Amino acid sequence: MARHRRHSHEPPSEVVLPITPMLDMSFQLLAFFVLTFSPPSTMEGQLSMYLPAAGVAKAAAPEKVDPFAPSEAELDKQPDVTVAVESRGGALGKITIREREGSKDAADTRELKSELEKMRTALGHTGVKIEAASKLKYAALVEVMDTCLQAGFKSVGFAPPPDLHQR
Amino acid sequence: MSQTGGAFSGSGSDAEPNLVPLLDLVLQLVMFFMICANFVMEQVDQTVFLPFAQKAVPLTETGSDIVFLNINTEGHLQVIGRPLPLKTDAEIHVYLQQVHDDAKRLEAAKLKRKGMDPALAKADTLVIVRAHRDAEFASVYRVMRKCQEVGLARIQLRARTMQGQGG
Repeated sequence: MARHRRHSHEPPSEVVLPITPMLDMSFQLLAFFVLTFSPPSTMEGQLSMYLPAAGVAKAAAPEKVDPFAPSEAELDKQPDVTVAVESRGGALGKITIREREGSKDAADTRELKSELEKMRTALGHTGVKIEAASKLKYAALVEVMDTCLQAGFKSVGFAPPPDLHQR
Repeated sequence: MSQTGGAFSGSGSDAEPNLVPLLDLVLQLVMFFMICANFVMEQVDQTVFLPFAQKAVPLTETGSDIVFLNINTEGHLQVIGRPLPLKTDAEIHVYLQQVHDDAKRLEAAKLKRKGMDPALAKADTLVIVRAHRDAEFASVYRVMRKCQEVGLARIQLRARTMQGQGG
C-alpha cells in the first residue's frame, strides 16, 4: 500500500511481452508436428498367424524339463489344408491346394479364394498352412495369406520353405 | 477497439492486432499434435514399404510389450538405433534373446510387486514383423523361426491396410 501511494503520481509503465517471436516459434513447431503427423493405426494393420511348433530335444534330466516347451500333441497337430506356392521370379508361381483327399491347382488368387471357400464350407476346415518357396517375395506371400483369410480361414500358418536347404 | 480508434482518429498511432488469442490457439494445436504423436513409431523403419492386405486389422493392443522387427529388401533385420542391420543368424539370435530376456525380467518384476513368484514369469511380448514387400520369404521365415526359438511365440505380420493405400 505504501509503495502504491509513493508511485501513484507517476505514469504507469507498460510491460510489453514479445508476442510476435513467440508466435513465429509456435507456428514453426506446429508446422513440424503437422508435417510429421501420421496416424499409424489407420495406415498399417496386422495379420495374425502361427508357426508350427518346432521339435525340441527331450530334457536330459527331470530338473531340466521346460514346462513352456511345446508338447508332443502340439507338434502333431497339423492343419487340414496346405497351400503350396511356387515362385516365378519372386512373384506368384504355381499355386497348389493340398488336402487329405488330394490336391488341386489354382491359376491365381481369385481361383484360390473360391476353391478355399468351397473346401471350408463343404468340409468345415478352419486352419490352413502356407508352404511358400524361399524366393517368393513378401508381397506375394501376404497376398496369398490375405486370400486365405478372405476365404474365411481363422488360422493361417507357415511351413518352412521346401527349398530352403537347397539354396 | 484500438484498431478502429486509431484508424479514425487520424493521430497516426500504430494499429496493433491482439496476437495473444492467436498464440493461445497455436499453442493448443501444438499440444494436440505433440500428444497425438505416436512414439511407438520410433521402432518403425520408414524405408520399409509394406504390401497391401484387405484383412489387415489395426493394432488393438497397446503398451510397451510390443516389438517391431523391420526386415529390409536384402532380408536383414534393421534395428532402430543401430547403424548396421543384423545379417547373420547369430546376430539375430542374440538380439532376439536380449528382447526376450528383457521382457521376462520386466514380467518377473511385475510378479514380484504383486507378491507372486518371479520364477513363473514368462515373456508375453507381441512381435510384429514389418518386412519390405520385396524381401524374400526365406529371410522373413528365418526371423520368425528365431523368434520362436528364443520363446517369442506371439508373432504377427504387418501390412498396409486399404485405408493407407493412398499414402
